[in-house]
Amino acid sequence: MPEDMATFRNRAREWLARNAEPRAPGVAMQVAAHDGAALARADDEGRRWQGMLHEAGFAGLDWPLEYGGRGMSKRAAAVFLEEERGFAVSRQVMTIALNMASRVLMAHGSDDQKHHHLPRILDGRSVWCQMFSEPEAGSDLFSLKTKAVLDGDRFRVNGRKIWISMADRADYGMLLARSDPGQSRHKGLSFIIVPMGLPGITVRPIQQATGAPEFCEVFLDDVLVPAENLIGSLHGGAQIAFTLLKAEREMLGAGMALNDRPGLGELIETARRRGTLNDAPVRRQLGRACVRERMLQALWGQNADALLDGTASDSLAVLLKLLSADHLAKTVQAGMELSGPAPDLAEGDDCGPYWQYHYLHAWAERFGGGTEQIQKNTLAQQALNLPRPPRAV
Amino acid sequence: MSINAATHDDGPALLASDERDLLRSSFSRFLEAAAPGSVTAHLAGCEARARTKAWLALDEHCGLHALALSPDAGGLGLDPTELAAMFEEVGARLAPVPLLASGGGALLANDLLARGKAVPWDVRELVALDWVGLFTGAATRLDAMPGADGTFLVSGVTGAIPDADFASWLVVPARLGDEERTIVIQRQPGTCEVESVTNFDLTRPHARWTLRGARAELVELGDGAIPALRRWALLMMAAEHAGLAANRLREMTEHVTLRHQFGQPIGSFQAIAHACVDVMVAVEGARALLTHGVQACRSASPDIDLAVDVACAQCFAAADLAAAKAIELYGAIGFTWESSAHLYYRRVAANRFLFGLSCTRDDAIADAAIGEACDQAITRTTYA
Repeated sequence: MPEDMATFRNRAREWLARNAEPRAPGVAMQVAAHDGAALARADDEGRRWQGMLHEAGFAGLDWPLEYGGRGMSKRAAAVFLEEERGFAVSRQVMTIALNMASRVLMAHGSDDQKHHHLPRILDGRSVWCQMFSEPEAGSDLFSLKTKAVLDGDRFRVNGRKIWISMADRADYGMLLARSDPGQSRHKGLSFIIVPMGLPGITVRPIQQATGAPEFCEVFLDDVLVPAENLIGSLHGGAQIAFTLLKAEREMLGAGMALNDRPGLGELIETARRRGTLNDAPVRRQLGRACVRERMLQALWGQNADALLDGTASDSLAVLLKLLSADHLAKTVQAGMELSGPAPDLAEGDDCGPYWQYHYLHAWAERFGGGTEQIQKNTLAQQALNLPRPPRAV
Repeated sequence: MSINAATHDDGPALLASDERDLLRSSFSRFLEAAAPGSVTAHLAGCEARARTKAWLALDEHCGLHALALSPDAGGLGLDPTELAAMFEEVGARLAPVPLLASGGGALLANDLLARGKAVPWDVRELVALDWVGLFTGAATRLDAMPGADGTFLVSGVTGAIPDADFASWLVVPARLGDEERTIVIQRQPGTCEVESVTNFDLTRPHARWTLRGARAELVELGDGAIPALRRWALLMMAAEHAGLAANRLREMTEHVTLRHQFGQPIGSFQAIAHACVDVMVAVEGARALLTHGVQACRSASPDIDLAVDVACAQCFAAADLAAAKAIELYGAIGFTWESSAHLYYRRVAANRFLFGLSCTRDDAIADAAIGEACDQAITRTTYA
């Protein structure tokens, strides 16, 4: 008889309690160190934690058994994530591998590709990145220029990719490049798995507004990638890119990437520390944040089945992503207001630095997975059936 | 157009679901048939005489007075699910139907009956409520004196009260000695003078009652009656706003698809399209919170007040945005009586304080949120 969800939740909770530190009670409001060395340490811990989950049978809960998964329901996986959030662990480094690369591999990979890569993702051995954007191809992805020309049994790759999270730690990159330079836009693109250690790849970390080097620029100079690393058909990469973008939106929309985001709890804690819980303007901010948070919870809760089964409309995922971004943008704004003039940092523990960090970092979540303007174009056409704008040339 | 899968239909109900559907569609058909062709016709339908006629017809048609009334009193005892759906219809069309007055009166009657008290008004007749007086405890302008056989004589002038222009009864707080009590006054020639008040919301007329020794009776409400009435009223207001906002979104989307400038539909311009999307996002969020609020009421969830307050706040915010954006996207048309856009805009603005409480519910929500944050025992899970 399959285990019921409550029993599973208890089993997960007990295992987590034995193997991880619970998150500090209350609202910590600390900013973790985010220089390069600290990020590298956190990433190593993330890989190790993924390995522990795998050993204990909590990795790939909803993946098929043949790829090392547990063959359980999506709901079970969501329940585990919920429980995991109560503990001071993060597998941020595995996010792209677990939620995006795996989806692409399962949907379009060859048997060899699946059997090689999926188990290595599950036990934390391989970290992945996604190499789509280019300096001249951001929102307009299909104007990308990086070339991957098939030359015998290898692709010869030349070009430049930018704003690539995790590129400096990834073992593999999912590359979208032009394999047929005679074709334009979504035609003539191929989707290729690139081992990041290949000769000719140079990765340059990019300093972000927060000071953290969380993403990178990647230079590809005459990189030779075995032809068998092609996913799907030659020149058929656009379709696979769509799978990946949909997976990304669903991941963002389902709130799976929302660990450690500031929200209502942090605003209340800030007002409590400042002694302003009874001030009318502060209470207005708290009330509005509560409405936004409840709204997201209601939308997730009422659509949980569809979101988990992947049967939710793409519009719903986009809508959730927009609402989450809006919530975050307004929350960090409120946090800056509530924490007041920048405190003397030498005084030690305070919520000022926390809000200053997130005030900057919120942009990462707002741009991630596509700008709000692009998401709104999608909703205008998909959900409201509004006429398309005149085609850009 | 909803992209959120949730509906208001889950869970048990007093009426079988086909009866509910019948009632809802019959209500909807009635409103459809009465739908005015122009702003002028709409406003003519809002006059007291027209609304009295509409109320009587609707009462005969689908038992309006009995919708929320408990089965003990010969009512249908509809729960918030069905009523919310009706309020959505009313909001979508700005239908001049006194659903608020009839439902509110029924709720108070239910409270009296449940505690074995007599209902001192005729439940088949319309009862207007002084929402502001009942909910905010604002100082009453009425004085009551003991009269013959346990009744009272009331004098003074009421505030402006919705639906009081044609209601037969009025429930209102009055001073009785040192105390403030809830009383009900029957409209009588001679001692009650009813004066219509010019209202910002042209489709929801208000009136003042001037009383000169009018006969009144005490309404002996239980302790929980007013909080329950307030919760119900805020939830129904949320439903009205959800319906109104969805209507605005539908109409503006249609308009920007049909209206051409620069040789193309204006909805193809991003500034216009994104404005529609902003409204859609607000509407979907409102719908989700309304569903959540209705479910909390039906299951008597412990955080029922917060659930109702956040629904009220978001539905108001969505309606507020949608009503304004509709005027903006209709352009000059929206600013004239050629379009009913201003009627919706007026309705939302006037609704903000219709009950004397702000529909944004900031304070109440902040209180509940702070209380919940202090209670570490609560852990929230989405997936069961």
